[in-house]
Amino acid sequence: MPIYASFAVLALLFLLGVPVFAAFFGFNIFAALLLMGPQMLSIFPASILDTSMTSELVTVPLFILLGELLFRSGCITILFDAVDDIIGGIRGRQYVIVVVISVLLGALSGSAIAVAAMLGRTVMAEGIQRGGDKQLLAGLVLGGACLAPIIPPSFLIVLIGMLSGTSISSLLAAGVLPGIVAGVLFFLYVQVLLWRDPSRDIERPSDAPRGSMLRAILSLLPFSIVIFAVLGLILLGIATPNESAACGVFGALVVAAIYRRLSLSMVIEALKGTVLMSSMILLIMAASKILTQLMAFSGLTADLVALLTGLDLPPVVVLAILMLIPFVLCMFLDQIALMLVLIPIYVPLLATFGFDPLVVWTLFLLNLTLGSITPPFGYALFALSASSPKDVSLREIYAASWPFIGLIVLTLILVWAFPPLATWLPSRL
Amino acid sequence: MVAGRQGGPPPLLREEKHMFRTIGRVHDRLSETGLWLGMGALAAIAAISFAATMSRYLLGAPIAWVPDWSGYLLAFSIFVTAPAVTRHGQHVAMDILASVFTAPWLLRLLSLGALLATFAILVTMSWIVWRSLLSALGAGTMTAAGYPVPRWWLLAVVFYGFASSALHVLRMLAFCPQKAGLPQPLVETERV
Amino acid sequence: ETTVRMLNTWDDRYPGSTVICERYAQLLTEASGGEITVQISGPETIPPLEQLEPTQAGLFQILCTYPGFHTGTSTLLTGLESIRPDPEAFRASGAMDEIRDSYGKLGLHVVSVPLAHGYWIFMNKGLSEQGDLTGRQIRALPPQHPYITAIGGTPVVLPPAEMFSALERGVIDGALFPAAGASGYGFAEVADSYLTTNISSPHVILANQAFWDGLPEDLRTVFDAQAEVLETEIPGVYDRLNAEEAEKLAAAGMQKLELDAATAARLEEGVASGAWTFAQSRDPEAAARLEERVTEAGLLTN
Ligand code: NA
Ligand code: NA
Repeated sequence: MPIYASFAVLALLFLLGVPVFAAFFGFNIFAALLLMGPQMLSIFPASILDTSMTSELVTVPLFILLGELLFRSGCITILFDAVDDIIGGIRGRQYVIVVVISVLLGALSGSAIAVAAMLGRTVMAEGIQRGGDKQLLAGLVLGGACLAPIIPPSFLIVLIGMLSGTSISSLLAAGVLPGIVAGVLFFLYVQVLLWRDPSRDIERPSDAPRGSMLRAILSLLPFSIVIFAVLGLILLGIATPNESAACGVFGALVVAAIYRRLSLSMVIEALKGTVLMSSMILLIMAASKILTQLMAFSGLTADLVALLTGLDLPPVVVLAILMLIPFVLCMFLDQIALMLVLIPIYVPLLATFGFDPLVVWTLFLLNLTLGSITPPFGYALFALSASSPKDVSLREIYAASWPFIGLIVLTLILVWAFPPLATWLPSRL
Repeated sequence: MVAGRQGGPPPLLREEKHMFRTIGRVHDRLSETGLWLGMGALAAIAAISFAATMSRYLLGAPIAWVPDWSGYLLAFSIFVTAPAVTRHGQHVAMDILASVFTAPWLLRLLSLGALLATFAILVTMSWIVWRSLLSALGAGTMTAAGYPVPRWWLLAVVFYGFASSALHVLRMLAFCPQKAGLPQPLVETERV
Repeated sequence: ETTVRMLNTWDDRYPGSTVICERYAQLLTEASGGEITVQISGPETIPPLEQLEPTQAGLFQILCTYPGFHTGTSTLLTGLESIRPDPEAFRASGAMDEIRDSYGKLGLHVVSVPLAHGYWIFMNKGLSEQGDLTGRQIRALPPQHPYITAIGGTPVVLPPAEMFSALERGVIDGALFPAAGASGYGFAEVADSYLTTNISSPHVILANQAFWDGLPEDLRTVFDAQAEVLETEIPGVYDRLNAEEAEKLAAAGMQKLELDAATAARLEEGVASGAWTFAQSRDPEAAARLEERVTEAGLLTN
């Protein structure tokens, strides 16, 4: 099969150390030639333009820019200190802060990639500066990024609702409790880890006295401008999620001005960091979009699904397989394109096996994003690697991801075992 | 050039060396200019999206061309910046083999292999985009949008992104052999 | 045996995918006694806006699509949004000759132009006091903006993925969208009423010219005859689909809005002038000739 030979070429290019986007393009060239011959190459430029002009993707650079501005304005340092003062003296509180901030910032965007890049630039850099454990920080950031699409607002939820004919507002509500459960699991994991090895904790410098709760809350006020600019405008029906990203950038400029950090050179540095990073990330997305198209063209995607679902299996096994497919494919395929392929195939199966759509689609969404933090191909890993401080290597990020993949799989199992986690909140609306 | 390098570099005449250095400087400056243009495009996206939101909500006057032009500016910024991304070694690569093997000659060989493969891929991509550029130019194809622009404008930027990146990789192959042993093969300069 | 690679613009959410693209494939196979088999690839293979080029290049032999998706190359067929879906009168008008001439210059043979009843406006705010769209922000594709402004509305451009949450949260007051399949896309959840219009929705089935020229005469006859079968049945199929849609929307509690005669006439004028102005943007002479043909055939009046 030409498509398998092409994957062998992709693996070889990755091993050689060819940049990820170029390796994907290498796969695409090879696969196109094997599948159809040179005329297949003619679809590349159109697909590249199609991806790079997608208006939804505008949120990716805008959220990275938002993160850059927040970091350079000192906002993240203040956020760290304030949450620190508020939560007080529990073990590993600096990591708990990372969990809280990751979930908070993750809620702002629906894209795991944008959030991983933003958190790498902000929370991760700040945490390392404070003497934190690189791997634990990277893992927490990946975990937080993974929750971004299931905590509303999220355009992936809207897309699932559209594709599957499920109530969009119910789907949005369904993601909230599983998101909180995952956050609690992250917290417990940090507690257990630090109880076993206290040396990994970050100690607050002794010369910095603890501030009062009131002052901490006051110091968070400017930050709430950003939260309002992104979440508030969406919830009040003033802006679409896309537009709110631009408003968030404007809000971050205002916050920087309040902290007296707004300067032309600061803005230029933020723009430079953003554009280098988003160019690299979007090049990978453009390349992987073509890869997805070629897989669809070769019939491999449909064959895989047909093969796995055609077997006569008990419902639990079918569900496990239905979840395994997006998890595996999303490691290296475009999420949106994959949703277009899989959801129409899944819809009749849900009815056949009597699965609850809210549970299945929530699990499906978690699986999709889980794929993006799973080595070796997950986009969010690349985004975090590019955005985090330079002494954090992709290899370390790979290693950091595994415990959190485990925790999210545990969340998946919990949601499956206790369906009300997904269905209770929507039923109260 | 690569074969020459492995068998010992052929002595270059003084003028040739000078000429290569001048071309290299011009190329670097071009890539840095591209980076600034990409930054400008991104700032423009943020500004027009914000302005359009305010105009629609506060004045009831949506600016219809903003979504299309955000897309054009995004495509422009990705590819006009790409050569600078390559030059600054900002692409993400796997460093699995490079971390397993530590023998310097092996690392150098891996690096050469990676640079050669990357160069070949980028040249092929440039050629594919170039052909499409010519056909779009010949047919006068516009973008399928409400506010269309000629497709060849965008394809020209895509072509520039691939071709200039390819040239950066070629220069790394030819002129930075001592750097070709770093864990991340495309690190030419420090990360910015 | 001839295997034909067909590219289908839509996924299964849009009924046209089944009743036009898959239906034509089935007609071809049946009428040829199994000699023609059609292999269909969907939008996951090539994105909708990029499908014309691979068909011109011969990667796919047949493209089943909506003319609004390739306006960068040809805008001709969008003029047909202003005509009554009457396949017999359309065929008799000679419009097809003009269309084939124009697409022929692009290396494409026009196999069929199935016409359907097209668009409704899904609203979360009723009509204005004047009984039109005054003060309402309506999402529509830019070529269709004149339709919205003709009845007082303010057109807004939004990507499809944002349209639904924007409607739900009230960022916009309505959206112009194909009627068939609307509830499947989730409009019933984010809107509470809908305004029916007479805007038509032309579809088109295109063949790669070299493939068409190389087809044996008997197979070409099968393609042409089945195109006629398809074109004839489509308006009735869409009447049924739209009626089903109206039932589903009513069951979901959505209210049906209608324009008074004067406003409806304003909309009709806006559609006729807007559709043909836009149709002329790529090949103006062909568009002018096509407009003349359909006007003479009396297709512009509902
Ligand atoms: Na979110
Ligand atoms: Na890094």
